[in-house]
Amino acid sequence: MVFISPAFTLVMLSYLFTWDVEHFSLGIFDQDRSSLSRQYIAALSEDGTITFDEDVASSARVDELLVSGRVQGVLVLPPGLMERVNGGETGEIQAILDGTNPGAVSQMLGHIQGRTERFVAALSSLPEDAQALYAPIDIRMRVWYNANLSTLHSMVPGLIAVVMCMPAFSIATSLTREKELGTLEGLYATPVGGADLLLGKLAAYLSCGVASALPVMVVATLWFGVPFRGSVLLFLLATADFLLGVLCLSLLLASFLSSQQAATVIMFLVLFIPSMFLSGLIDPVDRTSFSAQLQANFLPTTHYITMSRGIFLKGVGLRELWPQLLMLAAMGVGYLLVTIKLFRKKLG
Amino acid sequence: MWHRISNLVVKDLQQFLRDRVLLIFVLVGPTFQLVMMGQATATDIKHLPTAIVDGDRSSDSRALIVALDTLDELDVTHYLDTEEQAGALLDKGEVTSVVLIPSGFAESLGSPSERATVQFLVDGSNILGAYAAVSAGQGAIARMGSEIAVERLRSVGATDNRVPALDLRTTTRFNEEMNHSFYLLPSQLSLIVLIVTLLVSSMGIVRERERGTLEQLMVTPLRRIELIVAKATLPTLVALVDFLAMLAIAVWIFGVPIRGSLVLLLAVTLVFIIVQQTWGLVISALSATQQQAVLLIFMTGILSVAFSGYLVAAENMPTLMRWASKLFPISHYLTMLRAIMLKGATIADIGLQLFALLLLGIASLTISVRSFRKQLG
Repeated sequence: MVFISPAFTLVMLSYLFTWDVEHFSLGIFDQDRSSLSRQYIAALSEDGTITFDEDVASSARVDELLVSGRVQGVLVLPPGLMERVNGGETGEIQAILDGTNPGAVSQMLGHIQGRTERFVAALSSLPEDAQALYAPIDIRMRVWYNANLSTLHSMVPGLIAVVMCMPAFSIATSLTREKELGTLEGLYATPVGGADLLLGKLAAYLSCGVASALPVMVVATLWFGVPFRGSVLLFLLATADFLLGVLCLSLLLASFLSSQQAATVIMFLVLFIPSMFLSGLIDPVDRTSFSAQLQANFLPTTHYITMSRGIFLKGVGLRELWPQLLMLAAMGVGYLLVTIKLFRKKLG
Repeated sequence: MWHRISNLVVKDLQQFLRDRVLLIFVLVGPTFQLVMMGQATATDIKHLPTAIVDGDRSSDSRALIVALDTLDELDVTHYLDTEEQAGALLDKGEVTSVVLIPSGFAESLGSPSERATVQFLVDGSNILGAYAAVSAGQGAIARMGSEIAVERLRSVGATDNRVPALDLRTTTRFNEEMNHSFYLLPSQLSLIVLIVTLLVSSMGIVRERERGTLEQLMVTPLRRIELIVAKATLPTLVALVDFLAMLAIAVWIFGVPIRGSLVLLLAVTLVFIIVQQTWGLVISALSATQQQAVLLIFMTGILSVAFSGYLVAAENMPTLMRWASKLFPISHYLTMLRAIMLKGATIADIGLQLFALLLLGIASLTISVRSFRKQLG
């Protein structure tokens, strides 16, 4: 169960956090009804990403369609569009878009703009020297590590860090369970000391967690097709290092708690939710905000996300990732020492 | 009859208020999560670190660097000599983007028949950061380009625009500033209402079974329908309180509008809570212990999120998933929630979804009453 569940959760979460939109449904309000407007509509819907599903006849209908959510936007082609364009003037097209889903809107707008530019370029067939006149700077945009700007390729390596928090949940509930059942006192009476008990638990969950990283990697690369450019060994080392940090953090938290329910709630609030929103998984951490930096650096997940994305997408090695590795190891050892000290005190 | 029901409701309420952990989880957890989520998505992405490799060192290249640095999205943090150094910084993740200005940049800009080249490298490993850097950088460089284009056109004596052109004007309705939190906070609202309803309703029954008190309730004069109504009251109350608290946060802290009728919003929410309770009854029939119930709720929650249009609107899903999504009450509820809050939809606009929700409710009520009868029988 512990072995497979991170991989299963990764599959579900990845579908949740993917917002590449593959199809847009638009309405068309063609007031021009010319050969140009028909050509333009055909050019936009050429590859099937955009389909025009509603033929709009009045402005009132535009509102109706948008409010009911039947279309995600309406394209308005004004009367006289062809005349203006052929006369060398600028024709105005209006896109009225449903902004309730801003992510989809920016993608849709990108599509429409791209198609429109290509349509215009085909109309004018700009000669070489004219291009120098109208567009004096040639911008060469290159996206490294994720050339197609695929959401999945960016999110899956990041979400691995979130699902690898699951062993931390398990270790916290297992320690509090012993407290609930009263078996912890029983163990104190035996020659097994508090430190041995903690180290034993830590070793068990650490090895289990590292093992569960393997199906996670298989899911990421084979199911989602995320490239793996770095070293497998380094990824496992990074995972073990992260687990050390996060497991020791949860042991420390669990030593203050007395019920399984409480442990689940606290882990959820302290580890799981912040890992989603404060770690740079979704938005990059704001460089200039001290509090955002502090929170992010305190979370083990932040460092693991950097390493996971680095190994998967950038193919970087120890030379680039040593600061993160060191930070996590320091966290783990620090939390562990405090926890052992707290345990000793209780015994004494 | 009402006396018997109210007695059980009061007992449930007392028990709920005594369970501190559940109380925190159900009342503090959701608001905490909502605030964090709002903060993470409400602000725009800013101050992405950027490295410059200026091979030209002219006044033109400096003008470009200043134009990039004054953008909110980009901060120039490093000045480097070679592309290799820039690559190393991208590898380490110390910069998000690199701008390469080749030598001869100013010279090319100075002669009207040439095009100057600028390279812009972006780290694509964080997708939202990459999008922000690409659009900001491209915008700033293109603006500089169009200023130069105006000068060039003037110098060759062009007076009018001789190239055919189309100007795309965009109007964004319902969310003019394209605020992501307007989309995500209603999603989160519906999810929390779902989880809390399922949790409180199934826990209430499973706990009675674990302790053996469910049998005791069976031998009292309480009829089955009375038991179900009584057991449904507490979850409905708790979910409504949660909903109102989160709605207040969404509206007052994050400025999400309620453009439609508040009464309609509450009525739709109440219907959703009642429909979702029947799922809670089924879950409680399926699970013997509280831990099993939690696991089932977790799975239901994940599936509901995946199919509800939490992040990907249902209309953008593949066909099979789109149809499957219609079986989840939350997908209809979320559509209505967004329509009422952001679009000011009236009951006529959301009639179809409301009808679908009621239909699903009747179906799941039938199943749940059956399963409840079996577990008691």
